[in-house]
Amino acid sequence: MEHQSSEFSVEEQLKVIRETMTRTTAFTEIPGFAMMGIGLLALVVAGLLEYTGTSYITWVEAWVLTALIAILLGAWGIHLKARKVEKPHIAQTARKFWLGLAPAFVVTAFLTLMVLGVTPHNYQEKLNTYWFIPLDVLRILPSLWMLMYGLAISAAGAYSIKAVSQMGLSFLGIGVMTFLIPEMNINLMMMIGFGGLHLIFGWVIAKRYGG
Amino acid sequence: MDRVRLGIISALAVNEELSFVVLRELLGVTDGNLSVHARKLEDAGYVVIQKQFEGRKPKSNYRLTVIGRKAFEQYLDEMEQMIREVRGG
Repeated sequence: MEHQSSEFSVEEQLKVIRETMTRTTAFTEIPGFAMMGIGLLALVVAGLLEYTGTSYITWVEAWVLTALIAILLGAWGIHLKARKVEKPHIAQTARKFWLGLAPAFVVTAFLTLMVLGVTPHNYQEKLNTYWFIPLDVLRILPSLWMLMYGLAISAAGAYSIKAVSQMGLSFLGIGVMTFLIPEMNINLMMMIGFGGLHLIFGWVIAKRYGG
Repeated sequence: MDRVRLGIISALAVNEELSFVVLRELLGVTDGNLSVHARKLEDAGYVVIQKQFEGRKPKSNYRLTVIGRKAFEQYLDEMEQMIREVRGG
C-alpha cells in the first residue's frame, strides 16, 4: 500500500480512514428489529387508544409509558446487536448515539410539561386532582413529539447511514403535517409516525445492516 | 492510494464482512465505481469477494484478507512514522 500519493495528502488520507471507520461503526449498532418492535408497540397503543376512546390524561400517560418502554427496547436492541458483531468499540459508538438523543428527550419532556401547563408550583395539585387537558392542547403533543424526535434522530444520524437521517426527516415531515392539519385524527398520525416509520425504517435497517 | 480504495479497506478493517450495498452507501460512490475499485483490491489480494444469492437476488460480500489487513497495518505504521518525523523535525 502506498502512502505517498499525489492524489491527496496524508492529512486527507487520515481523514478518510477516521471518517470511514466512524461511519462504519456508527451504523452497525442501530437495531432494526428493535425499531420494528417499537413501531409495532406504537401501532398497538394508538389502535387501543382509538378503539377505547380514553380520557386525554390517560392518552398522555399511555404515550409516556410507551416512550419509556420504547427507550428500553432500543437500548436492549443496541446491546444485542453490539454483542452480535462482537466489537468493543460499538459500546462507545452506542454511547455517543444515546448522548446525541438524550438532550432532545429531556427537552421534549420539559416542553410536554410546559404545554400541559405544569409548573413547579402546581405539579402537586395536578397530580392530586383530576387533570383536565383541553383538546387544543392535546393536539399539539403528537406534532411536538414527532418534531423533537425527528430532530434528535436527524442529529444522531448525521454520522450514520442514510436511512437514519431519512427517518429523522420523515418524522419532521409528519410532525409538520400534523401541526398544519389540526383536524387530523391524532391516533392516526401517531400510528403513521411512531408506528409506520419505525416499522418501515426498522425493516430497511434490519434487512440491509444485519439485524 | 485512491480515496475509495482506502475507504473500502478502512471500513473492512473494523467489520468482518460488509455487503456491496452497505459499502456503496457508506462511501457514497456509484455501483460502477465501487466495483472497479473493489476488483483492483481483489486483484492485489487485499479483499475477497463472496458472491451468493439471497432468494433470487445476487449479493456480494466483501472481507479483508490477512494480506490486506497486514498491508493496512503497515500503511498506518508508515503514516504514523511520517507524522512523527514531521512533528519531530
